[in-house]
Amino acid sequence: MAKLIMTVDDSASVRQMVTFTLKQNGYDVVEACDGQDALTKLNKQKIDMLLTDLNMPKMDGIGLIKGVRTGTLNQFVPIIMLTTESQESRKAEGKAAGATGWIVKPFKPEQLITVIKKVLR
Amino acid sequence: MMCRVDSFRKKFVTTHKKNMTDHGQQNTLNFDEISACAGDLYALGPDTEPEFLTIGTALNTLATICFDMTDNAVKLSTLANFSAGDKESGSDSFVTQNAKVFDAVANHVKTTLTSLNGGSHLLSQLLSQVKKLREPIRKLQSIGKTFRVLGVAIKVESSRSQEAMKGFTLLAGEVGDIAKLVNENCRYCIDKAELVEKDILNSQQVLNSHDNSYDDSGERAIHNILKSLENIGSKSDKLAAGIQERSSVMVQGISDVVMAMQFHDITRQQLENVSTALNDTIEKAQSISTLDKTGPNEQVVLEIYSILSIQAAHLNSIYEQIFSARKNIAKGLEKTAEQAHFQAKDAKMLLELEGGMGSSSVVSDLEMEIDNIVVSFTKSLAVVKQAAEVSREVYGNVSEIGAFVNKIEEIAFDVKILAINATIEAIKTGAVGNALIVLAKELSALSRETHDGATESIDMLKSIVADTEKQMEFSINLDQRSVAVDEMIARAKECTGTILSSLQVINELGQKMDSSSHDLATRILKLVPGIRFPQLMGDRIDKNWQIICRTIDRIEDSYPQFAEGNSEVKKMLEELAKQYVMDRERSIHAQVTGGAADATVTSDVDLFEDEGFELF
Repeated sequence: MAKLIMTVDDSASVRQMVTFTLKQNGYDVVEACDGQDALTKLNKQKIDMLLTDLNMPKMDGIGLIKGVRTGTLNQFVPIIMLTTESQESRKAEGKAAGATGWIVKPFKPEQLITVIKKVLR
Repeated sequence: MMCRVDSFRKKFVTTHKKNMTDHGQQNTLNFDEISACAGDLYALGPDTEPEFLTIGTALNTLATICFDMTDNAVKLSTLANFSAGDKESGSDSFVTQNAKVFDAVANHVKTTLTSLNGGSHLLSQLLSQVKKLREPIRKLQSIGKTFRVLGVAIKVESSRSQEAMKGFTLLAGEVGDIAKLVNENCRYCIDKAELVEKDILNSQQVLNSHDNSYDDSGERAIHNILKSLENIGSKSDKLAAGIQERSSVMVQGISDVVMAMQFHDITRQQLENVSTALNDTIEKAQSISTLDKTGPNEQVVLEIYSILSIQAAHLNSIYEQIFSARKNIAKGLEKTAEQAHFQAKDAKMLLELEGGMGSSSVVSDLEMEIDNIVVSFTKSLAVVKQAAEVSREVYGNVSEIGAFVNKIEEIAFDVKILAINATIEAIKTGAVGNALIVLAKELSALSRETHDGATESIDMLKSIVADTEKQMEFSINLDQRSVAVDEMIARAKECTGTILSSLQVINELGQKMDSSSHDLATRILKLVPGIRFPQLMGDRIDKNWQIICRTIDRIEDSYPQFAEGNSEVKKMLEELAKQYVMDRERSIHAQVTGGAADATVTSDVDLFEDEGFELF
């Protein structure tokens, strides 16, 4: 059975690229446009991994991670930040919130898949 | 950053300033325009997103086609190598295995035909031996006649003196019976021998009427066909490998485009940063009301001037980034289209190769040759079976002859005893029995002749039996060989079946590849000219950039001390550049446009530190 990954980004084109990359490699994908939308969906559905941007309206990536880690259904799901930012302070913030890893944009499709495979293994 | 700002200023001066009207010196700065720029630049990202989504959707379709082609190319490569062996395990190719099977079959057929020739020779030998057997049996038959005569003679002699010769009358009767027995047995043996001769002659006729010569034309035809298949396989394999490689390059092209497409999100963030920075200048501008040339106002104006200069340079860079990204996207797509074009050519060559060799007819020719071999072998086998049947009959009959000859041998022994007894009785009778002594001696002699004749016959029979057993053994061997040949032919037919189905699938895949390649190339050719985001984004950025530059120019006119080479200005620019333009943005620009990062970047942040990701 294919693994289900949620991608969260306020940019529709980024979500499109991530979905396309994941589906080509045999993963199922569910999309969310911001942290709030993602949490609503995560309360109803179990996923295998979460990919999220950092800077989003309504609820940013850090807020989303904290929300997921305090939830019940997807509390221990691996969470990867997929963002243009790479400052150490932001990374530390993500790690403290409960992120599993960090990928910088722009990503190469094969790199994204390599990371996902490493984490899901 | 310094280099970029300076070069942007030069560009502004050479391309735009001379076209602008002289606005003279102004004491106030109108930041409504800057505010409008900030709003427009902030909205630019979301406004142009639908354009990117359209491109993304088209890209999705292209990628699906590419990935399907890659899967098919892998299948093609696997199927096409039926002419190549497995180097790892050291096993032969399909075609070579098939060739070996056919060679083994041909050897068996040749051996069978040679054996049939040998079998014919054996039969001839057997026949001549059986014919020779008649002689000793006829001798025994004539001895039997002599027994009859002797019996009569003993009867006559014994009748002369009935009293003394009573016993000899009985002897005469026994000898007469012996004569009858010997005659009957010999008759039986002769009849059986005739039967055996007939069987052998029939078998010889069947054997001689069968063509035992080996026709190697089928064998040669098969090897030629296999050679053709090997050539097809080898060429198909090379083409398939090329197709697989091209498919990988196509997928890579799409992958490059996916990466370049991400620049929209990055550009959106960069534009948001510019917008934020412009809003900062508006805030600062609200703290001053006039353009006083000195004092605290000058410091604020210097900050505003520096921020605007940096953002204008940044916008210039983003402008270039957009067109570079467009170029990168087009390059990636065109690379894919070029490969698709060659892919179509390779697919066409593959189809021509398969079709030109008439591959399905090549395999049906092969099947026909196999069937011919089967027919020929089946006919030979029928002859062998018939010969085996005859051998069994001959064995049976010869064994019976042997039994009867043994009986004659036993009779010879009985006659010997009779002769001894007769001699003794004749001596007892004295002179009256002299004639009977002579007859008894004759009886004894006949006993010896009978024994000798029987022995001779038995020796011949032994030899005939041995030869018959050889014949039977040869038939059993051929029968066993036929089982092996049947199995080999079944394997050979299976091999050809597999080759045929491989060729059919190769053909289908080749056609799919051909149509997919054309589809892909056509879609890309339509897509590339339709990429409009550079114009949509570029025009708006350029418009806002000019507004910012005009404001900068106004400030410069009022504050000539902000001229080039001013160390305070340079210091301010350097400090603010760190705040407003992240080093990483320059690297991102380089990454998505495929260009080199700005040489003045001193940040130690690499774009893809630790392979581009970090796991905590």
